[in-house]
Amino acid sequence: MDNILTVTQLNHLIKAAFDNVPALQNVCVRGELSNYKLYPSGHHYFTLKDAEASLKCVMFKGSAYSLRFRPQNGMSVLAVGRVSVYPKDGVYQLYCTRLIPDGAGELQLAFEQLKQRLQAEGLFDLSRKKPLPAYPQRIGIVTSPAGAAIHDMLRILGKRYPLAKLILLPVRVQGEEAAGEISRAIAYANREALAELLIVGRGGGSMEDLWAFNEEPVARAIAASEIPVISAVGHEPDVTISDFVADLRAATPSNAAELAVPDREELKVQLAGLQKSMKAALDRKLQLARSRTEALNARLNRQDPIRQIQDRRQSLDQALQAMTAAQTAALHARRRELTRLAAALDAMSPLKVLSRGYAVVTAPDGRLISSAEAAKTREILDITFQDGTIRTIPDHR
Amino acid sequence: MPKLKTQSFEASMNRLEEIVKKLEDGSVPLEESMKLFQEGTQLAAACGKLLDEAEQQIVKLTKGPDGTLREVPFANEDPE
Repeated sequence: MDNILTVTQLNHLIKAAFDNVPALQNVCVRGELSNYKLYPSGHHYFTLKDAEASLKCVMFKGSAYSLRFRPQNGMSVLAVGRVSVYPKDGVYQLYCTRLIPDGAGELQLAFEQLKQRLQAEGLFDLSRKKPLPAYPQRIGIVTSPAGAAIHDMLRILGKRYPLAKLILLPVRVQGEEAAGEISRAIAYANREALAELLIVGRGGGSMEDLWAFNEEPVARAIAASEIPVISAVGHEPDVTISDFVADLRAATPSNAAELAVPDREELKVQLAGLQKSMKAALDRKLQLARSRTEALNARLNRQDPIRQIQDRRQSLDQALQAMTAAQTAALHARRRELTRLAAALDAMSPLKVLSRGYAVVTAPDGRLISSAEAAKTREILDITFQDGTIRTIPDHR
Repeated sequence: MPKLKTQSFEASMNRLEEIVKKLEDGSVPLEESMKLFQEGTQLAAACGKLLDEAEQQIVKLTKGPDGTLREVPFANEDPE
């Protein structure tokens, strides 16, 4: 036989044959992943199989880089690529350029996987959430310098709380570079202690547009941030991994601006309230002091020595007066008694009787002769009239 | 006398709240209460003034020719 080939020649011949079949240059195969291996080189090796057959596959580093989910054994996927021969081993294989989860969308799957992984690590735990500063002095805003999101945030922050300095860290918010720029900006703000609060986000868009905020580097940067982070991505229904990791999730960038700072008008109302409370408290205090002073003053007055002397003098006066009155009364009583006695004496006076024509008979010794019998024994009788006494000799015959 | 230039708005607000609490507590002597009230009134006025007169400072971090980041004023223009 002239036509002897080396193994290499044969394998290359076969390879050329494969490469000449247009149908093999762009295939899409559905199958189940098995034997999935990630080599240190960055290349991915796996086997696709169904119930009856299997197919060796390789995905080179460059293509694997764009994988957004983690391929796992048993997962049903669609593999896109070309079929060719690897001459060194003499096997044909699928050179896979894209791997798509069969069923759920690729992005959705990636989202769920990262979410589960970070959740398991505890990155969403409420205990990790840092409180936001009440009155941030510097707010770092990681977003695109163009577009409605930054405009809305600046407008609302300016209206509510112009006291804060706003520091924009301009980044791309979609595309390949976005995740890296966002996570580096967050890290930079922390390294430089640039602000007391970070707002990280962008305006609304498709899930693809918002994808950077579902990427692990961004999630890790937010989780590692010492500065509290408000995540503000898209519209209300859009939920990203950043939202779960952030200290606070805002529904929209505008909402983030509202959550980030107190409202100037509310603060003014609060200030007025504080002033009012302060005044009321002081008024109460003054009122209390006043009534206490008055009470003390009254007590002091009661202890005044002059007043005590006055008081005693008054009682002395009263006593003296009472005494005088009592004396006078006693005097009057005596006088009345005297008058009465004098009158009684007067009534009983023998002279008074004599003046009515009676006379008193006495013996010369002065003894009263009050009966005829007594008179019979006497030689001499004195008869006293009102105007004098005569001596008589009774006739005893 | 509170020095508001060196004191942040937050510190002033916190101090004001503390003063109100102390006054409402009523255990502070009258003379000190008067002093606190005076301080509080000045703080409230200064805070109000800050809120009324503050002008927001907005800057953007930009990479200079030497590759270092620096702050430049950022004009908030209308979107696109």
